[in-house]
Amino acid sequence: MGAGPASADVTRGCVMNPRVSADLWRGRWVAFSRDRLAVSGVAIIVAFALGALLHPLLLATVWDPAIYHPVTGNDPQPVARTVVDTITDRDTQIDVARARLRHDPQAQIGDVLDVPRQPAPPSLTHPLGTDPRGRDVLSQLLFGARTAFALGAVAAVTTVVLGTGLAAVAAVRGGWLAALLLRLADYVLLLPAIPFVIFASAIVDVSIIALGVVLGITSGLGPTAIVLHAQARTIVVQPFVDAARLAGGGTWPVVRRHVMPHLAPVALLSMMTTVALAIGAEAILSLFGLVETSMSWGVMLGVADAGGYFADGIAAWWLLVPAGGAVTLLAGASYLVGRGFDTLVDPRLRSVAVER
Amino acid sequence: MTAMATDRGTVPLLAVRGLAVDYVADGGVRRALDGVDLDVMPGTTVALVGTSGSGKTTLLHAVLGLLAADARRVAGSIDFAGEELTALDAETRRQQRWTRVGTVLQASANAFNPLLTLSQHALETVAAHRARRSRRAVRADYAEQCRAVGLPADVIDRYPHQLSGGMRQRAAIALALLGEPQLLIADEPTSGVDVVIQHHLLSTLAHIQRDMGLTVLLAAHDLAAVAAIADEVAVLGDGRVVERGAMADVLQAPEHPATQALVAAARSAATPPRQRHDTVAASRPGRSVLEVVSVTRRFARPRQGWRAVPPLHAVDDVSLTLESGACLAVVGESGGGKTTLGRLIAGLEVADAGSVRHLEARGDGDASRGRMRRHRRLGSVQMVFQDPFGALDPRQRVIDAVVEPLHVRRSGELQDRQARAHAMLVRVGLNPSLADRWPHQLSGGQRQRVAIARALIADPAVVVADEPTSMLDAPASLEIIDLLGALARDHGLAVLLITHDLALARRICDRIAVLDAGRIVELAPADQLFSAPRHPATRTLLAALPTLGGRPSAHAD
Amino acid sequence: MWRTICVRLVQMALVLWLLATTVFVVIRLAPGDPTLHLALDPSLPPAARQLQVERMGLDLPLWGQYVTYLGGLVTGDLGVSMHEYPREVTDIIAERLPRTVALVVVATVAAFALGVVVGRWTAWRRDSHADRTVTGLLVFAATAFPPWVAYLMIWVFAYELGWLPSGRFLTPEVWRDAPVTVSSVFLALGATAALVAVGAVVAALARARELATPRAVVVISVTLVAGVLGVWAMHPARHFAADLLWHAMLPTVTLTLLTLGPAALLMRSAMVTTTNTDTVLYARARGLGERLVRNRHAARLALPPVIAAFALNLAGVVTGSLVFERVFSWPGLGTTFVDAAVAGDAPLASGIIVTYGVVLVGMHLLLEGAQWALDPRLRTSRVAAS
Repeated sequence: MGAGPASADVTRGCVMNPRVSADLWRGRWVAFSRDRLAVSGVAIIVAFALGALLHPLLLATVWDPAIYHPVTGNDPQPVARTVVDTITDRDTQIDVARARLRHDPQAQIGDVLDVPRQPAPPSLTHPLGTDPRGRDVLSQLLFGARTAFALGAVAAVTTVVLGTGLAAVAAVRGGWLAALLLRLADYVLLLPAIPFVIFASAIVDVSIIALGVVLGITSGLGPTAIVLHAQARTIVVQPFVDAARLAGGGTWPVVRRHVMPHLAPVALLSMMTTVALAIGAEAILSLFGLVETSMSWGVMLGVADAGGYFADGIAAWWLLVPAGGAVTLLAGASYLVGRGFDTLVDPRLRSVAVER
Repeated sequence: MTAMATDRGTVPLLAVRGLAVDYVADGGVRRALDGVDLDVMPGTTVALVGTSGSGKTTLLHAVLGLLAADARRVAGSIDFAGEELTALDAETRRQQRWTRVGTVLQASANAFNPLLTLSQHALETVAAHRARRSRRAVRADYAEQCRAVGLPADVIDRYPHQLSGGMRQRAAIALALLGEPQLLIADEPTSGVDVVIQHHLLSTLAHIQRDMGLTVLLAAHDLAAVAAIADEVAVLGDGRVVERGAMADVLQAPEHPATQALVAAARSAATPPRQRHDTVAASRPGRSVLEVVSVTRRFARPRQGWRAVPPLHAVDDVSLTLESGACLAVVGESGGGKTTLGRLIAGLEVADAGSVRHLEARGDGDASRGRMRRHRRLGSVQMVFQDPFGALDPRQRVIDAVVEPLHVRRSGELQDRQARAHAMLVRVGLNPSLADRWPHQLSGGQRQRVAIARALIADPAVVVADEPTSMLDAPASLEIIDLLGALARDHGLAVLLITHDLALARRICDRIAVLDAGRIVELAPADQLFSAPRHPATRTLLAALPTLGGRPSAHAD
Repeated sequence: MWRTICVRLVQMALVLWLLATTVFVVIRLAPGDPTLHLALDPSLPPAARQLQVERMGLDLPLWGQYVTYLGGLVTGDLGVSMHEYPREVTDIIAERLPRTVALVVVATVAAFALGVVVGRWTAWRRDSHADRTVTGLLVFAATAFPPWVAYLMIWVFAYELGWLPSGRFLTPEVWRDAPVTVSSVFLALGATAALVAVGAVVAALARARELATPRAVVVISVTLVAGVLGVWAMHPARHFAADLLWHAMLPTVTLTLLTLGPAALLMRSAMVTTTNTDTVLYARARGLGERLVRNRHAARLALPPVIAAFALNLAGVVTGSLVFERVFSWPGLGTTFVDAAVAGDAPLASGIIVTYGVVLVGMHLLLEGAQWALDPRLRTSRVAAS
């Protein structure tokens, strides 16, 4: 877009040529779809959603739950290994101390044992290998998407419902109520979110839904309410809101018809940010075993961490890359989609032909 | 005139030839300038006049070498003092700015950096061009220039937000003069300031131009404002210079239709017609529909430390009566409380004292909060707002905006409402085919018509029009004002016109109230106010009215 | 002005009181006998246990415990840790907080300083290939899962290359029979860094005022830095200081890398909007060079949101540092907190949470102060002499 004065010229151009943008929302969609990063974000989210939907289907049809269940499944895949003092070949040998501890207390150097191969590298039966407990990583990954979506959705909805309500009421009503609500948002903003969740989950059992609600409140509500309130304030002072008030009717129709629709894009942006925050937070908490989740990407990383596989670098990559990559991708995709909305919301960044 | 022309030389200081500029946006190309020719003789003031979007700003930016990133010069040359500017490298052009070509941007623009004081602006500008100047010398020079443009010298240590819009423009002129330029470029330097300040600013500019023998290129959308100070005029329309010549000649005999429209608008601004309102006042004696009695509105001001600051009396003990079929104008300088008064009458603000009586509705009485709500529900007062861009919800189509009051008030049958809305669009002079457009697809004037249609469909007794034309081109604003006058006349509406422009007020209003610092200092029939103003505030406003007599001050010497 | 400060302080005190109360309620919400839950060894003889309960005031009614708890907070008495019995909670916090703060402050300052430069660079070349490439990298850096990046850094620099220790705070062999305590060396290092930082800020302000670095400032700052380095080079504790710095290197660099992405992206998006303002147009129209237009106008106008993000980020990372500290075995406040929370050490965990609250509140106050100092629109009155 050009400098300020140039855009005045272009406004006129719109007047002359109504075809430039026949429809406001279509114009926005065009601008959004031109943002390649945002579109790839949508694609990533859709891909994960498909994976999450596919998982129960696979378990019901081609995957035997006894082997492929993300939590209770196990596929031992026995491999013959020679017991040795110092390992020279990882695939065919086993350390004597480990053999005695894990498999056969009487094992001697030179014996050949049938040892379950855990974690097993990717193969045809397990496209992403198995984890240190013999569970299928792909199954865990798809199941983890479900957890992530459930958590993200709960956190985002919590944030946005509370945040929008708080912001709209504060902006329209004003007075002491607004002051009180805004102080509340300030308070939530000043709450140390992650330590608070750890502290709470150490004392009370926290389900994934409760975790979503708590994360939505502690990490999303404060900024969302403040940003939405600022946005609502700029709308409430617009002449068209005054005109609507003069047209009659109470406060609520004005809020519903003229304030809420303008908050929607900002609310969407906050939703996406909260999703990214919640997924990241859950992964961190699960990684260190600080919350009780049956299976999630964080738990997958936690299992790898507990087994010491992080120090192996890329040797056991299938334990680290799928889960870590999934967290990064989904959180990143949410961020990119939110950023795409942001571009649409901020009129200064918007392509000039779309709107004034 | 001829003697002066030879004095000034016959070689133009700035000569633009066949300049064409394209904007590239979203894969499309739009031509902003299409073969512009322009000569600026040394020592003269040339006005560049045109409606918004005619390419004035693009032309000035091209001369400065500051075209936006999406703009391309596709043809033409710009000759400045014998040098071909388009052939120069970026560094040379940078050095020319300020030292040879000074700039003043629009008054509404936030040109100064809010984080720096004025003297810091001056220091950095001098440092960018002349390495060896002491701080003290630069500050002293700048303070001197500020005094020359009518600012106190201590203003240089202020931050931009501490000055009014008019003062900031003076500071910008002083900063431009500090560079001792040959050419001063001013891009609508008075847009957004009220008429009185505009008058003072332009006369300051004229004085400086004469005293320093400066050459000025002045862009404006309002011919009336610059007619008195410019020697020559170039009229831009759709990216071309459609007419140019001496200001007096163009005013006398405009040839191009665009010029004729501008001149007609300027004429009516300077000398409003006086025969019209007599007939109206005589033909239909209005009945009083709304009475404002001793209304006061105070605004609390932020404390200074622990000390409380007395509240600002935006509206102070104002009484007036609105009559059906007539227009009452409230005029005054900005900050005088005009808008607050309008909002009080509409019920969008609650008065601290006094009452707004609706003489034909049941809900009259004191202006308390509860009663305000009821009045709003009755819809007996509607408003037309200043900003045509903010007046319509960008997410509502035209028809939806107009029909909304009917839906909210559940008035009439559903199918009937659409028909009534269409009829109302026709009544305000809009093509009904615009009904399905979005607001951003309309021009400013069209938007104001839609806003008027929305106000009228609620069947109000009173319409408050708050500066409805201040953001429109001169021709468009005349149309809107005339529409309001016609509606009052034909539909028995009481119109309260809030404006800073006495000429506009006189065009349609029978009575004019002058508001100064929240009080009505004079309320008189329009003719009487013009012929025998009593209060100094009224005289100031009258003095600020533009004159179309060419350039008297230049002829004087 | 003083009135505003007082109002703010009261508000912040209120926020801290609410936080403390929330923590108290959460502890009491825990199902079961609080004396059992609070990691008191169930095998303890009943008499000893009774003594403990009385010492901790657990026999009082709930409101009595609440009053004792609040009274303790106000007087700075946070009780005794159970996990690290019998150390005072305040003592533990006083030891661990500086370690966390030092790591976080150095990394955040470095990340934002770098982020402003990178963001400014990309915003100025908006939509060029260079901008797209760098922005893509930044988005990746901003969205990468932090522990993952941390483990990757350890694997590359500690295991594969072997340049840096994989974590931990110090090498025990070096510190055996050391004549100085860890904390004193650490605090001395911190004081040195603070001194240099203050010098840098003063130099930057002098430069901003004069549009060029005055010679006196160059001489003074070079002397100052050389002097401080000289003192350290002579000092007998230099080996210990070097050991601490060596261990701090990897966590600091990792945290800097992770913070750089968001900082640079924010600077870029803020500056993309200021680049199109009239202020920038006017600066160009006055013939200022591109560099000056960029740094003094476009970039400075973009700074307020970046400064806000800096303060909030600093506070956020202090409270969120537990991830790093776990991964790098850094014995800071975060590690202590996680251990305390997992072990159910309520006095220590709640004490740290309240400390976090104080840090957050303090950062907000500092942020407001900084915004007030940097933006004349907030600092000076609007009264115009018109």
